[in-house]
Amino acid sequence: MKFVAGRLVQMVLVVLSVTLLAFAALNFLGDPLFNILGPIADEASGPEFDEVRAQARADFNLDEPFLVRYGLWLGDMAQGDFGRSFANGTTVSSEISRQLPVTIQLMIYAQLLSVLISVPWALWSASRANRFVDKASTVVSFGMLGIPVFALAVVVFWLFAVRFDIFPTRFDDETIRTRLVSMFLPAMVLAVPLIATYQRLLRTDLISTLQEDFISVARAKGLPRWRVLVRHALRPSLFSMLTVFGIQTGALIGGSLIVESYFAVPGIGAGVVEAIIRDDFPVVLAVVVVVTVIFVIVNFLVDLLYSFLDPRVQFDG
Amino acid sequence: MLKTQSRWLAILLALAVIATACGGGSTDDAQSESGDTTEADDSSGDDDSGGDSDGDDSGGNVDESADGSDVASADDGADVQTGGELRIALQTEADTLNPTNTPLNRAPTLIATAIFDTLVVIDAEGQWQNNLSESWTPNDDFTSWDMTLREGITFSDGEPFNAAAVVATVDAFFSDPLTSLVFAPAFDAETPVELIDDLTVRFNASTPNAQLPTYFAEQIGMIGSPAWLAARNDDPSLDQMPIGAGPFVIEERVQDRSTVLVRNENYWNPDQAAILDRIELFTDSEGQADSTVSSLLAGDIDLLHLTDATPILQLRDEGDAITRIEDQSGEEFIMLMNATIAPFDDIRVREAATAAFPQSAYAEFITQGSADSAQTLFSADTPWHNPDLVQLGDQPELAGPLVESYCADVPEQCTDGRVDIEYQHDISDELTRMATLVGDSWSEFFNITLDVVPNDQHITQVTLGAYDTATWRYHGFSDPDVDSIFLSCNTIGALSINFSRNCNPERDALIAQQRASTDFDERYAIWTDIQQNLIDSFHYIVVEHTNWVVAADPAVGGICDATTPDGIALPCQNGGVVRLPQLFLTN
Amino acid sequence: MADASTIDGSTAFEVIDEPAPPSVARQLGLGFWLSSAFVVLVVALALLAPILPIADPDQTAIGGRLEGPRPGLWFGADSTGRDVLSLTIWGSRISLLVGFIAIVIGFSIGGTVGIAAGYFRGLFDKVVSFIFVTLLSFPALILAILITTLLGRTVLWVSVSLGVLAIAPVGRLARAQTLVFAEREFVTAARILGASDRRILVKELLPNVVIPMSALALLGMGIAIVAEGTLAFLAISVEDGFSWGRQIQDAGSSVRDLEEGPHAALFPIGVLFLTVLSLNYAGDRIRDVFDAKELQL
Repeated sequence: MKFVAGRLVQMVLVVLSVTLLAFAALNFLGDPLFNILGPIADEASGPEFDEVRAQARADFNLDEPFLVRYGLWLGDMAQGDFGRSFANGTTVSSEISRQLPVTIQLMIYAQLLSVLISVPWALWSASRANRFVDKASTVVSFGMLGIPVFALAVVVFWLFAVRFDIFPTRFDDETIRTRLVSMFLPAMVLAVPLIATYQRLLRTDLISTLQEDFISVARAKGLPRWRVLVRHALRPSLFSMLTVFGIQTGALIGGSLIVESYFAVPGIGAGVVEAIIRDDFPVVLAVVVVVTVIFVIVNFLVDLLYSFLDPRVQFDG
Repeated sequence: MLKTQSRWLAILLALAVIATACGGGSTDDAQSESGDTTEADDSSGDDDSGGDSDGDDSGGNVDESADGSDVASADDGADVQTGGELRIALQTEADTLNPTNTPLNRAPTLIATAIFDTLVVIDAEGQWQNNLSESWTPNDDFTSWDMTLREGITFSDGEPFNAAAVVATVDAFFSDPLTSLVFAPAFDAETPVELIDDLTVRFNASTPNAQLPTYFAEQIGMIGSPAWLAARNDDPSLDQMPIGAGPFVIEERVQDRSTVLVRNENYWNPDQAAILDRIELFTDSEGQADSTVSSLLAGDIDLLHLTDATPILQLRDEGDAITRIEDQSGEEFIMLMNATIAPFDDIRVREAATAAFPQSAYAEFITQGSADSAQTLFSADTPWHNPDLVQLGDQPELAGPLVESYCADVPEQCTDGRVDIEYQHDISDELTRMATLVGDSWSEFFNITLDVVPNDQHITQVTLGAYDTATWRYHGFSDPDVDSIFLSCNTIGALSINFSRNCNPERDALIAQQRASTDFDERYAIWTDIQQNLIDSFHYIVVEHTNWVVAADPAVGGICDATTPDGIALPCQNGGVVRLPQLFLTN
Repeated sequence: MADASTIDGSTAFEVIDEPAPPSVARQLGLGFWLSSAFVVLVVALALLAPILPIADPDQTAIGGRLEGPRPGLWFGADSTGRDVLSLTIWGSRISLLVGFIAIVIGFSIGGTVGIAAGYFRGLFDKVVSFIFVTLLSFPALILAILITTLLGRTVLWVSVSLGVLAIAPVGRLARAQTLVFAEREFVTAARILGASDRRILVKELLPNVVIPMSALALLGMGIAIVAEGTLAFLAISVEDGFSWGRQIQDAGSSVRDLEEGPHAALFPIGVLFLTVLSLNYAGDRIRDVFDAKELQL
């Protein structure tokens, strides 16, 4: 259990440094008042805005030393007060609590799709290792890993929503069914690199497991091949999929910015892209923090799970 | 803690009487146009016709119904079904729905009209008509107007709709730094409004103004319940839940998302009470206009309004499968040139930019026939249109000598024989394409630095005059006299409503002259001179008449059924604003 | 460990007579050479763009709106009538430039710090490792966005932000690599013989760590190009530069445009995809041939 404590300390340190970095970026890169107010931060824009400038200085504690400001900001964050959006004055926390569930649903959807597709595919190619099917699979998965998510999004959208009118061109959350249908393409685009990653990993793992003694024994006992594969080979191999799961969460977060913006899914990714384009810093900062915390926690949980499943694992964190 | 500051940004944002161009393409969204103050479209009626007397002879604008050109498959009037719920997709949103402190662009105007109604309306012929008012009586020189209200009107909260209520709203309007900016110049600075008796109010104009009642077809004619106005001073969140005397009341509102209206059960005029029970209006901030069209076709929404070329063409492709009403009498899409700073302070540079502007390429690649390309502020949908007026364009050969002579005089503004300029626009795919086209045509004469900024910054910078040339969309009022605030010297300041900051005393004199006139033909002639003056001073490049298109499921009826309480027909739509009470659903 | 000279295909071994292991060139396989040729072609076109006989990429109305491919306008026209082929070639310049600068930054900083950490160990190593963990804890795209938003959307800053992203993964690998080699006999021997740290680092470790890692640079370049494309696609990359991502976003974001002229999006997508695939494949092959296990990729 020592490593759990170590990992926890590390996690807190990481969150602190990430927030410090993000906050410092906002404060030291350029004039913070300009970052907050835009062009009217400049005295030259006229005395009409003196009051605004003074108010903003007070609101953001700009006259305090940096570390004090950081502490105040962190305190607000910890209490769930992320400030207000520059763009429309709504509280950032209400925006995030509206958007985050959509993003999480999208990610779970993508993970489900990728597991549902990659596992049978890996079983199939592993059972025919180095035969045509397997070699073709390797080429295909290589291609899937290489295609940029945004390019894939455009191709998939063009093909399945425009050229062949199979899926709607628009997010629709009227009912659960329409939500699932309209989220299929975005989820699939997110899933494609995952599928390839899982397939490659599982396939390699399965092939090496298949060479181990207990498989030969099982086979000798005359069990059908698929049963050997599923019962004896797959189970230990699923374990290694878990390791990449955490890492893939990061890729998914990046991918969600793209697919949410492109497919107009009202999640946190689309929200943050819009905030960036509008220089809406409270929103950007909040999303950076929230997403990073989630990312760190997911990785921590994966590590934890991993260590329970495999006691040999030692962490040097 | 961010409250104060975001309120100020909101103000600046709103400041846009305006809002940049070309509608809600992909990324631009909710706020994107929360500029646009403005109101009803041109196609104005010139003067009074309403209750009172006076110069009713003037006539003018006969045909030219404001509902504009194209009406596809109008409703059949068939079986009117009482009750029901309608879903409407709007293009933009406003920060608040309080007309006294937020400039309302087209979409919020649609909502606010249903909640407040206006004192005056512009009819299908383009004339102003009494609505909540009963009559307007001017004095001899049109410097003051007495307005009498109809009897028996109440607000939806039960408060009486009387002269005191009108004065309270108008006072609130003029005490707001922002909304007053737009209309204050037309009213007497000391006492813009006086209470005469329980139902009579006197408005004092700053100069002889025969068009004053038309102002009250705009936002300033939306009168709020005094109890609500007083309460909102303590609780600004009530700006989102306004109370008026209109046929609908607001039930629920999530800013930038959706607004729910339900029938006003206490409506003062039983003959014209709302037919539908409930209307949900939403702004799909992440959505694209063309996917909004898909939603209409799929039956997910019942009615929408939009201005983008692509979805307009898509709607036209649908033919009679949907009801479609187009209206180009409203706003114009314009290239502003800042006349107060170099290089556009020099008329040669403005003329060169205008001459080299790619009018025909713009029509071919951007508009694609979805709207008429523009020469002046007035489209053929308005009575003020004069086909003889033509601005420069598509003549790059004229630009060369002008730039050459300018650069010889002012070398510090030029590099390699080309004028250095900054071209500002806000973020949207269509504006990016436009910048590509214009950049290609101008690159021979100008070194262009593109400045692509978020919508709110764009509005702030243009209003502050911190730009060289920028895209803009405005001029959507119902009478050109109201639009003239954008052209006058007295609206230039630190914050300018005359966005291109082009002051021309000769033009101001013409504006004052038409303002005092009650004769349409005379006003038409003066406006021809004003437009010629705009063309000759290269005030700006008018690029396109915005085509507001309203489209609806064929099951939606009553779009063209609206009338005044006196039974005078109103346009089907007016710059995207549909009147909601007469809408119904057929089976 | 492979000899340095063999990285360069042209000086590959000539194998005589005996059925010894096949030449490196052959080991790399036809696919490697095809992908390399493609990358070389793309880079050459990018470099030569100003003197190629192609249309000015800014010139509009060369073709009609979204006009399809035809002789003379091989990739068709985009929504403002520009030549898609010319745009694709000119667009590659920013994509490749940003990818290249990012990788140079990532490898020079990440590599140096990683090697130093692996060699000197101790507190420095602990601090560096923690910084790497922190950097890796940022979701990559978010970090890039944060940097470009605040510093400005110029070629330099976009490259820097993507370079910063490369520091941690490259640095970790360099550190791990160094740890492996620092224990090797030749390093121990050099140490016993009294060689200075500096000499050991430069003479012994550098070639053994850096050169094999150069295969990674190809993979990294592919990743950086995709990352730039992603930023451009989200309209937050180089402000007035036209890169593949921007081109794809421009042509691929409206239903009607895709309906009318998908070619304007699909051509640059195809070229981008082939470029990234080629870089990945070439990198993979080099890694496979030159001792993948020790690189622990």
